[in-house]
Amino acid sequence: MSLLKGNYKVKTDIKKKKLSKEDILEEKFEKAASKRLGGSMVYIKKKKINWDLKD
Amino acid sequence: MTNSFSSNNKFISKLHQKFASVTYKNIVPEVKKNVFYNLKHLKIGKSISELRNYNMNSKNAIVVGGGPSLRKIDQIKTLKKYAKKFIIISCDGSLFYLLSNKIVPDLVVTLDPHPTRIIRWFGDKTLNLKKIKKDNYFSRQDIEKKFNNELKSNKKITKLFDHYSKKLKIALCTSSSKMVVQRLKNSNAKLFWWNPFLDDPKKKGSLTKSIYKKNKFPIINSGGNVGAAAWMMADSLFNCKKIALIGMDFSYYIDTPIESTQYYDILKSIFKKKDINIFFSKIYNPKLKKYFFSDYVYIWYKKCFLEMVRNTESKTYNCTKGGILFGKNIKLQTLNEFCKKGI
Repeated sequence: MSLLKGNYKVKTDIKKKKLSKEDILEEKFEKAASKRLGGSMVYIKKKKINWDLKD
Repeated sequence: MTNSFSSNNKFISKLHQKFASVTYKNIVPEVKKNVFYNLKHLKIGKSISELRNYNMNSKNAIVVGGGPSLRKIDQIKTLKKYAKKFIIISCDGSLFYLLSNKIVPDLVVTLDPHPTRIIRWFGDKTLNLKKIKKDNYFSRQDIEKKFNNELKSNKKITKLFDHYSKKLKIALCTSSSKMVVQRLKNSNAKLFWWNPFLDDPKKKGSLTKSIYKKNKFPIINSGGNVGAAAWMMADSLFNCKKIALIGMDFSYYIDTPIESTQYYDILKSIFKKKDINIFFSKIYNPKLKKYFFSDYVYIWYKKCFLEMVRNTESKTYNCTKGGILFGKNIKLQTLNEFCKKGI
């Protein structure tokens, strides 16, 4: 992917959003998804039993 | 010592927005591996659809979960008295409790794909001290006190399971591990296969659909955990109009050390000890007038479960006498009351 760089400076100083402690923990949680952090099985909303894929 | 948790509902709710994708990521590789391994063993069981007419007498059901209240609140007398009048559905983790009390459930449900842990609910004939040292999952938890002396209890459950296996029917999820499938294959239990919902089968490239095409077993929504799956069997497989729950806490007693909770070890491996408390929440049960505490996983289970209960005609009665399962469409009742009225 090529990067397009401007040849000027913006007037406003853009500060990087400071993450709260909770945001950091949340990010860490998401990154560790390969570990067994979640439920025993996936849950799909509004499904019950599908006997033969025709229902 | 009592835990000093605050209510971390806001943070936990935020986590839950990502929870479905996190669970999918960490469960699906194991599920896929097991499903494809199990293709070679499909003949050891039948399709769960064979049980569709099992509840000919339209009995109501009692679902037995493995939560901490199961042993703290002794309901065994009532359960024994009325067992024959109801469909008893056991989670794998509560089978030991039932068989120890000479109650043979109508159906045992197992689904978790974990490669080494789940076999322990049926007795692991290959268990030794080396394996126990490698994984302290059972010894550090409050789930089944009798499992604290692991070798001894494993011997006991192995013997009990083998003794009763001829009378047992097991709803075996195709996601179950090689160890569980081998153990059950070598027992006399009758096995009934089912597939878990992993995604919407109507969507393009659906994994659920591709699994179904390979084995043709019914797809059942597990609700994320074995207790909810057991409830789903009562509701949609046996068509029970009234379903009682015991041992469905979705939480821990307030004096349970945080180290003895199910997900503590995994949280400890990722986060600093001082940050772990945020994944837990103190919850007041207004009916029992008591506080319990729960973690982000069990709170998610509760949310999913309440949603499942909302989408059905059957009535659910929580007779657990502990825990955090209360809310719209959940009636709280004692097991004795339910049994008297529910026959």
